[in-house]
Amino acid sequence: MVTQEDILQEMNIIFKEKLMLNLEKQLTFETDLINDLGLDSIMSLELIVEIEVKYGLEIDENELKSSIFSNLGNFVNFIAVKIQQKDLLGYVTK
Amino acid sequence: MFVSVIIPSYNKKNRLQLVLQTLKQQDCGIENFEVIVVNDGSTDNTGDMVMFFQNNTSLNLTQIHQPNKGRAAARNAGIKAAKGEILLFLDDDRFVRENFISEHLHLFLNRPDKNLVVLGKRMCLFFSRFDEIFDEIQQLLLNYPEEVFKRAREEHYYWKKVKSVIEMPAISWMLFTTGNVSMGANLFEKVGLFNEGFQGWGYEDTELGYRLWKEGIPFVSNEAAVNYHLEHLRSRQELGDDIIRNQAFMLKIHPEFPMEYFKRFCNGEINLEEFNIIVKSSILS
Repeated sequence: MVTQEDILQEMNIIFKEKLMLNLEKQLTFETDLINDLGLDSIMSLELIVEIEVKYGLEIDENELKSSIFSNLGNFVNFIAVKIQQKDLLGYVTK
Repeated sequence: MFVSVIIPSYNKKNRLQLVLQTLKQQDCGIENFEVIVVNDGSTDNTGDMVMFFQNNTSLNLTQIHQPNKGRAAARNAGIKAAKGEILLFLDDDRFVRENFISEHLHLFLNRPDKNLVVLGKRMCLFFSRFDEIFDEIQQLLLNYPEEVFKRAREEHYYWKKVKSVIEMPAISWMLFTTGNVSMGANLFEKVGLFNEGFQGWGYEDTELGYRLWKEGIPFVSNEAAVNYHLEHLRSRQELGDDIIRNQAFMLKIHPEFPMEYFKRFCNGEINLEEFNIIVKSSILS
């Protein structure tokens, strides 16, 4: 079971190791991805790809509304729902 | 069949290096193709990097130097120097799979006249710190290419949505983009070269596609001919000024019916289905 805290932890790793941001402090659910972290279109899709690889997800770009990126809480919640949907689908098809 | 791969390049040394590296590993046999890099006035040591590949690899590689003249003029210089029966257009920031050239080639085998345009599949990769992690990506591509390929996404607009256009012959010409396309070299004698009146980004390829379509040349797609675009941010100039100017130029040289609607489609005023229906009904009437 992946918790929202796990996803937040993973985001900290991705932002440091993949997007190479010099984070002054740990990310929280309140962090604003665009205004605090300067997320642009390339970075946001890089983030999505790393999350997809980590959790085995497929995320359609049509689902990516700007509100998802307004704070990390929204983003983590969006990912948590995607993981739940995937697990549920795996359970049903079993 | 001998293939000429034509790559115009301007100040993308690291990206082009990966393109050449993947071309070096093609499964079609290194003797069956040449690579022509048209160095369009780069100021970032692209020339030295290409020269290194010329001197240290078995790639049949030609470098043409020219002062910066833009994409259309650079591709035209490549076409004039090309020896291949098939010309394959590639960009300097799109590296390829090992079967890339053979997948383009095999569709020409049953076409002795080479009257064909083959559109490959375009994927996207997102590395926001590309230049900083260049060495790492280069090593991964050499040793574990799937680690890189699995991070690719379909080109959202182009391949996912517009690929249905291949089933819409009335507007299939708009699929012609130079990032991943091959065609018989003889076709340029029929339709002429790229129009060098286009400046900056956009439409010089679509316009050539339109002329090929008017000549009745069939367009086919091959999803197995895959390349990967290293995405980068586009400047406001590319997205704004260049598009407006080149759209206007397109309408000026082709004032006929479909172009006004193509412009409206590009500007989001009509959707793909509407555009297709309008053009199709005009051809039938």
